[in-house]
Amino acid sequence: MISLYVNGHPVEIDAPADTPLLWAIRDHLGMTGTKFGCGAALCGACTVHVNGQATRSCSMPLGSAAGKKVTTIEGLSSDRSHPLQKAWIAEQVPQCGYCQSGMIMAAAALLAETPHPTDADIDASMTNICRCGTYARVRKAIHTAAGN
Amino acid sequence: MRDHTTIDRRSFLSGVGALVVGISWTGKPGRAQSSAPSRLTAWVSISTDNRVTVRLSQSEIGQGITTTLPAILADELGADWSRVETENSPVEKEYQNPRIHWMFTGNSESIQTFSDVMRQAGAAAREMLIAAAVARWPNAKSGDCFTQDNKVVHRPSKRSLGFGELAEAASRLPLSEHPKLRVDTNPSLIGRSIPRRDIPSKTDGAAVFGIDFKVPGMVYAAVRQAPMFGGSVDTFDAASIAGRPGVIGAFPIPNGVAVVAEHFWQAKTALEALQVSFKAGPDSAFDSASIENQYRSALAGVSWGAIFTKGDAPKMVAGDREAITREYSSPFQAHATMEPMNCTASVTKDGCDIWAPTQGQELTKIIGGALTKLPPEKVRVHWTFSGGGFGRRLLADFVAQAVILSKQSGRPVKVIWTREEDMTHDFYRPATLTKLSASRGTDGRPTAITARLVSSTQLRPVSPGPLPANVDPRCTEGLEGSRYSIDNFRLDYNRPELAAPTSVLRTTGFGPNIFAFESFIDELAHEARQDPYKFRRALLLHDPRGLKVLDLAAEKSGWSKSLPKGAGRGMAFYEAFDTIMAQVVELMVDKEKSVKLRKIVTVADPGKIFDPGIATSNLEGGVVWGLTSAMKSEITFAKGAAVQTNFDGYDMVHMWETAPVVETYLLNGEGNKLGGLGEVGPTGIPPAFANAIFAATGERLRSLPLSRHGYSFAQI
Repeated sequence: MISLYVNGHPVEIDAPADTPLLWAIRDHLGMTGTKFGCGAALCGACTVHVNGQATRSCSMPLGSAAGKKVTTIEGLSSDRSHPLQKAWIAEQVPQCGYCQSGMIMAAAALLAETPHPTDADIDASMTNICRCGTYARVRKAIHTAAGN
Repeated sequence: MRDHTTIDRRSFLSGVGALVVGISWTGKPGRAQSSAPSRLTAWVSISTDNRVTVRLSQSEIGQGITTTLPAILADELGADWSRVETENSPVEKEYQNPRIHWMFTGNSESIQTFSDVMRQAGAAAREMLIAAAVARWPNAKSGDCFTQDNKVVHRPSKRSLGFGELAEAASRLPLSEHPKLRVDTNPSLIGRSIPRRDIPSKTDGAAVFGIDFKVPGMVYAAVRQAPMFGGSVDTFDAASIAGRPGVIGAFPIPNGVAVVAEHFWQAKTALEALQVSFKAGPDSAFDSASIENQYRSALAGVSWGAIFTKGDAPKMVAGDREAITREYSSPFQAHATMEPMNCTASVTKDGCDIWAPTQGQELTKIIGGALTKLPPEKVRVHWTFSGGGFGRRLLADFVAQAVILSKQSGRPVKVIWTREEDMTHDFYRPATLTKLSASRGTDGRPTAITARLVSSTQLRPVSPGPLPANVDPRCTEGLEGSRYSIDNFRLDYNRPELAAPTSVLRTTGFGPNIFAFESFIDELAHEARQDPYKFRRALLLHDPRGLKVLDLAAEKSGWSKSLPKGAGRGMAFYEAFDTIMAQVVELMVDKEKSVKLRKIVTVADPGKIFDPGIATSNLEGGVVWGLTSAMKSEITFAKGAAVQTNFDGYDMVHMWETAPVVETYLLNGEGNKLGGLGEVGPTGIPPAFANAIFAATGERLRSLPLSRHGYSFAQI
């Protein structure tokens, strides 16, 4: 049994410590907003925050998250009121949408550290893959959310 | 225009009893309804509390179709958009694509084909509602009534009745077989940008993709397919994983083995521990070099089909000692949808339910029926959002696995492929090898072009019917003549049979063919010492609509403006999916062949724009998709298997690699045909990109991806 905090709530997960955090969140907690894309930390679809840091949950063992605070897309806000969620809707960012949970979580970590990022800041920190090619709108929505 | 579908009242009634699982836009279960809605047509039902539900036969793969199709219907119906909901249709005859009588989502044709179907359905429902209202109003005439905001309004008396009050009576009236389409064209939903209905749920994790779908009692399967194409399992030892936590069992699947367990990670790790041996098939010993040889001998061989003939190009080219001949090639490519292949199935003696992120609704149902031997009415296909499709989800290999494993395990099973399974068991876009020859007039412009194209099949795996030898319309499109004024043109095609599985990928034949053709046109312009834009322009003087697209692209790209040293612009003009397109790429190349994109301009004329916002999104995203295809994407084979297994070997363009300026312009050219917009965005990028590199460096690149020639995107 591994204890951690997910979206502010203490949870106990009955899974081996080497289970990736991603699958513990999806299968054991039943929260499917965090996506499986590559299993190798290459695409970022599984991005969550662990103690505030953007983390690719497919490659973090559950055991390493023990005692830590994990935030998933479901915990970003309860009502799509996070500035990034509002900006994502305003700028009509998603297409297929599969990468967007991870994209938004990566952007949220960026804004937490750099409230008014430049294009260069965005380029340096937004390394997630979007196969539909929504990058231009992702960039615009980050600027919108930042009030740039 | 295409034939309209005939909505047969009896046939649509037969579909009413089928279980329909609506995927609500919020991703949450739909609201409980006070009473069953009344069904007016196969596509429209209306509840007493005045909600209009539109059925969708096309899946949402990111193209925005779940907004645009209901908007077209709602506009024709006179519905209040805020009270319009959608549900996915069952897989039944009346929801088929009326052009080919087959249910699927692809070929860029959801709008092309279904916009008329939606208008007809909206108009039929409107006429029935008006007839029901007139029956309630003494002396009222239907000609004096109109619909607006979910109401029927009697113009002279200003009386009105809500759709909800009329729906039940309207549903008992005869279906309007040939409804009149609205002419009071003040559309409220067409021609403007509507917020996409699926987007809010894609910002908070609520949207349900196939991989997210849950059904009570569901277990998970991980699969391991033969590591060489044509191979199969020799032996596996189920006892080797007995007693592992959560494991239900190991089961054979057609080309491999699966482990079913309570959780996915249990299934995956048990599968890795499973002792299994594979045996190669008779055709498994191929690699990239052997395929290249196959293509080369096909190009040199004699077994060809003439696909398109205008004038006598072969004679002119053969008789012209100054004829120019060039060869172009494009590689195998994987679909690499962000959501790997997955499917959930529940097979019981009462029926088979399949929940799949699919573009291939009809094939999925056929596969379900074939594997369970259940009659069609007991095979129910439900589709979810798809995390990208690009043609991969037209196939049903992953569906078959879920059905087989549910049957074998007696549980509802969700199969999830790892990225490695997904990339190494794709049906790839086939490589192409193209030889183009031109005879030219004294002005340097082509008077005759011959094209010889070698490509293994694209269409066969997804075709409802068989294909004759050396015929494959998806492979040859884009080289079947040209919008340019070229009096003599001939395309010959050879379709080699490969051991590597191939099928359609976004841009289909247009992608590789327009790369070859627009590169060749650029070469002819250069040979004639003419500006590539002016050269193309001279070939389009007869085509005002095409010229407008080309000219706008030149204007917006600043084609005539000078560029710094090391920079270049390249252009492509083409028609694909009945849309006329021009794209210009501007870039900078340094001595290390590192490319910095500066600006990309796209001009599209699909004949009519239903939603400029969604159209622009498709095109903008398509440009980025095209950049990946042009620069990076190549699958190679060794020992009968794909070499690339994940995004490290098969990389996508990243944010920092894209152009800082991407501009998209839409034209309403009012053509006879509606054009599609889902696949044209990427189509012209490879040739425009290669032509820009030529402009910048003088190096002509005749094969893709461009990385093969030492080019890469500048890194930060």
